[in-house]
Amino acid sequence: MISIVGLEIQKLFQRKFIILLLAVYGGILLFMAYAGNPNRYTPILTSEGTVLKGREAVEYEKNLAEKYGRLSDADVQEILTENARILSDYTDENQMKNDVHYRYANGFYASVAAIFEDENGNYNHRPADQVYPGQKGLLQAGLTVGMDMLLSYLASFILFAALLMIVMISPVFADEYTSGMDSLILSSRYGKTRCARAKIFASFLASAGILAVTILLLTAVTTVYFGTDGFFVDAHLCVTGMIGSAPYALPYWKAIVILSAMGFAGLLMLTGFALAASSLGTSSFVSVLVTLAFFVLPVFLWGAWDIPWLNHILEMCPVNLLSPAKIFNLPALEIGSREIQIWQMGILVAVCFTPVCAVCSYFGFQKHQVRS
Amino acid sequence: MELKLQHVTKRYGTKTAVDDINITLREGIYGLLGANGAGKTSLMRLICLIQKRSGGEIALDGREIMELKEEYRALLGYLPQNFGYYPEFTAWKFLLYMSALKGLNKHAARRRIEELLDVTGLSKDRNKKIRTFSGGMKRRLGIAQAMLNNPKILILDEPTAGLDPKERVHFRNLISSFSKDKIVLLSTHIVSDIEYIADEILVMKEGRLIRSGEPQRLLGDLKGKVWECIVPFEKVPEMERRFTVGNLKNEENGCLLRIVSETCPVEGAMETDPSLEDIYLYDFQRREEEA
Repeated sequence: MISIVGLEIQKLFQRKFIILLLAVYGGILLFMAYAGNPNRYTPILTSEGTVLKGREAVEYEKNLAEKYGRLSDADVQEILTENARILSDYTDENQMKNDVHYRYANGFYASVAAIFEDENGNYNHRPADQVYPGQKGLLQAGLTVGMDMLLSYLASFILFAALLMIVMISPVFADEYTSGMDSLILSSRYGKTRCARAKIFASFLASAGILAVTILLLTAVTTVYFGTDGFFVDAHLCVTGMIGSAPYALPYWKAIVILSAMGFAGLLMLTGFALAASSLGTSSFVSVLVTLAFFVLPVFLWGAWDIPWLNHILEMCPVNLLSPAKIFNLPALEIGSREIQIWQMGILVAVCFTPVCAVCSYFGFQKHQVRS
Repeated sequence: MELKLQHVTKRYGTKTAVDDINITLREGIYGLLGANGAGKTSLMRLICLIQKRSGGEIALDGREIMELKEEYRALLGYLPQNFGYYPEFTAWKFLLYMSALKGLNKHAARRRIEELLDVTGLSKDRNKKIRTFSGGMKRRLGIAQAMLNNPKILILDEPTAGLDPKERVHFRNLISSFSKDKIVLLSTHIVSDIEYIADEILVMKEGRLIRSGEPQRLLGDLKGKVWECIVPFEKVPEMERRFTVGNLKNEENGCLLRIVSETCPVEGAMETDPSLEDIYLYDFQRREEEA
């Protein structure tokens, strides 16, 4: 069985088109890793009006953020006032008007403003202990640039990985049908059993493996660039707004774990579906199309009609599970007297859905009638 | 060992591809003859459990093969008509993959692969990708993979397609040497492939088994029904219309025709020894007349 799994993994990775896609994927990964280099950090303005770049800017911002610790109302107002003063003293209105880089003196101020300013740039008087529903205590401030980068990259690469998986996994069974190998495989001793299991196992291993390598690489790069700064900072301070008002305490480390878990959940669900489509379909092209439709359509269908149960089902589809905006911002589901967060529900759905698809693909292949 | 087919039927919608086949196969070589669409491939697929029967039973030593599952498939070797392969695999890797599917352990697999590559003349091409192989080489690779597990039941669907005469002779000898204590079922359009090695001939038409038996017995059935005669060239079209012409050869004084007919076709025609091809032609002509 192990030897068959090994050979099936080789088959997955040796197609020229897949090698090309992997090369592109790896290239983008390396490029993004390079782009996140702290030496390339956006210039900031200090309180004295000095422009700092690169690592100097990162260090300055880190010290500034750590000075505040937990953010009280007074801290928030002080930050917003100081930001306004720096911009007014050291930039002109033309610079500030249309360029977001000039609206905030540094990234830390920008992350605070993202929560405590309205669309006109004025203080919105939101209490510092009521940023998200059920908040207990104040937000923990700190350097967030590394964690923000990691979260953004993870969100993007999980999507890229999903598209790569669709192309890689869809032909697993279907290609055997079109190439004529199904006759040989299904008439062999272990073709209907071990081979089918090996294909399924190899596919999941490949999906999980690619994502795991991606996550590890991005985490390693972030750690090398920024250390563990921001690990315990409250992720509601994420400047991209990705976390929004997630209705629970969410340090960055937890956000990364949740996003990674959702990545695995979504990717494994997608892999399971692709395997089932491949096994039950007639060609790789059809399985790619069907899997792509399964992946993409929920984005457009979610919220299209005011049907709560449908929307909840669509929220559990892989593409929505891979969307931080949905994972972190949708309200918890109420089931009986219990509240279940979206990400918890997502894991549950993945745990149920994925094996069902795997079993469907197994029996689909076993029962396949050779035609060609 | 006995593989018994009873009332085996396969339908695709309204079309009956295999129609109530009853036959018992024991150790030996069986040649399966039939035109395209006769049902040979469908029958072989049913025996190999890669298509589901519409009716009937297939039993190995009294046990239904569908219930035997892996135990039965462990005894099978199959070369389909459209031999599938992985273009980017080398011959060696492909056979290693097939060995794993057939349940050979690594050491046994390597030994067996070496043996078969040697026997099929592919030793020096073992590390070349299959996509670089000629048609004949691919066919030989297909034969090699079918024999990996030293099968007790070997099903070969048009195994010599794409092979040149020398390769076909080599293949014939290979099958002959291999067939001791095994059931070999071999379908072909090329009668000479089985003429000298088959222990029994099975002739299929429109899903039915229309004739079966040892070659000599079948040839004996056709004694007195095969003729040779020389006719003027201008008479050839008329002869082809009126009779089943098995062969046509231009000679100095006319055209030498080989005709399959119940009675003497023309004055001066000489009776000649029948061949397997004549059986084939006779059966198809007779069925058409009955129709």
